[in-house]
Amino acid sequence: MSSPAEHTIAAASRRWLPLALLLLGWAAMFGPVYWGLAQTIWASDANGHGPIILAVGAWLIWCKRDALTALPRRPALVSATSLLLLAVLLYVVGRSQTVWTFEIVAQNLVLLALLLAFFGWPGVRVAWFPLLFLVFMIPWPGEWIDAVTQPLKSAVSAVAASLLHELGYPVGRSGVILTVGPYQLLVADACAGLNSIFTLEALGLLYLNLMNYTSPLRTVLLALLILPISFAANVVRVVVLVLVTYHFGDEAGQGFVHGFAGLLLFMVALVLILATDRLLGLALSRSGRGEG
Amino acid sequence: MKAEALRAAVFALVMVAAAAMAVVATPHIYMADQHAREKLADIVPPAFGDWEVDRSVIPVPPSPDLQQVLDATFDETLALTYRNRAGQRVMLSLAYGRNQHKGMNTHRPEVCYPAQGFRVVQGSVPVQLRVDGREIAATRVVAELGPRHEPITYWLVVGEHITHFGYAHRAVAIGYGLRGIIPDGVLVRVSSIDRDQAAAFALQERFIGDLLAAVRPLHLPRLLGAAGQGQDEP
Repeated sequence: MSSPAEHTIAAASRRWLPLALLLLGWAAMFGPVYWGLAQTIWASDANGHGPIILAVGAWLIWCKRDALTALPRRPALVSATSLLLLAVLLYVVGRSQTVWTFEIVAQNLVLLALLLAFFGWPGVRVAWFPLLFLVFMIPWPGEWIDAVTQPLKSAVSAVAASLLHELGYPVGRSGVILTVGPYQLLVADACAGLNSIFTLEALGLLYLNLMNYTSPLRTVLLALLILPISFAANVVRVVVLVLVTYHFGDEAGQGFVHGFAGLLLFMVALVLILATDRLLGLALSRSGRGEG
Repeated sequence: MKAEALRAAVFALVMVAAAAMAVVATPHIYMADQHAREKLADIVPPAFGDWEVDRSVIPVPPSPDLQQVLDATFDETLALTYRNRAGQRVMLSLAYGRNQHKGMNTHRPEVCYPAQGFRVVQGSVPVQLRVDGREIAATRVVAELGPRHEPITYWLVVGEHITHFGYAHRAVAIGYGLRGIIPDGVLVRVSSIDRDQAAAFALQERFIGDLLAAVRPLHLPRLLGAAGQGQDEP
């Protein structure tokens, strides 16, 4: 004979046992990955947004726990097993040969496999947003980053230079080197804004999701508009840094203000995103398709 | 419920097994520890053939970002300017990377020149250099900074192979990695400042020939991979 209290504890542990086991497996498999990432590419310009995406992604999934457990259990074991094996293959190659892209793709595949194994395709449907969100965590191959960074950097420098020229500043540009008065500034990779584009896209998506918009048109439009917004914000950052250097000297431009300019970038971008979203809402509701 | 716990146990086990397999498969033998690796400066003679290091030219130091990478990876670089009797100058730059699994994209001329403010005016053209009876799969790039027009010839050695940057480089590194070896590598870059590209590339080819003829055979594999092997020390 067991008391009711013992009964509940037993039931609870039975409920939590699978989750606890899976979390252990997850920690064994991806703990080292996160540790390695933290030492390397998460500390770099192009992938600095990684840990934030991971944390927010985990939280988003946690938010879906009630919706998931309420589902009738229709596991899709064949799909789950094949995805898991594919993930293991990518993981072993990626982990042993330091191909970060493979490791994070494996992470996302394992998550997908687990959802399929326990909740089936309905579970994937419930958790579609966190799954999509975590795609932003996949590091781009260095090749792609280099291919995009250089032209982006040149474009940011060019726009910033012509803007300053219009404002009457003695600005010259040669490639990614800006000269203003006696100072020379090298527009670094970070200023290309690839990192900020990823982060802003992710934040923008999160914002849309939290606002519970159901209009796909509005979502897609905003996601696309975040690209020019992020570009503009990066131009603002470079212009601010040039102005600070010109008026207050090199040290000011490289010191505290340099970090502050990064923050400014995000504030500018977020304000622009919110404003754009409002405008989109107005425009779409006027045409009778949105939900303003 | 029981089935669910069992399924979770199996999945967790597979995940733990994956982690273990990855640890086992990770290469940990550095090629650099298996062979003698002299300092780059000891490999390249200061004078050979018609060439002599021009001490009056102070090479542009690596940018601060690059210096950070160099310090963090035990990498090594060497930049020298040579002058011949006719007064022509050629710049030789060697970059050594101990761990080619980490790659050396920062040294890639198409990346490193723009990072210093140059504009790449002519993208990578693969070219087979025939030097001293050897084939070298090199690449030619032309970069420009203001009036400075700089044709560049370079090649990349990873382990025993001459390869190209990008996926080819990655493939060679992974090929070694799957056998448990972490290869090292050297980027050999030769450039000169000259508006006349054809003349510049011809001069560079001559310089490369003279250089390889002067490097001790023992050290040739550092600069050429397996293609530099096979000669005994005279």
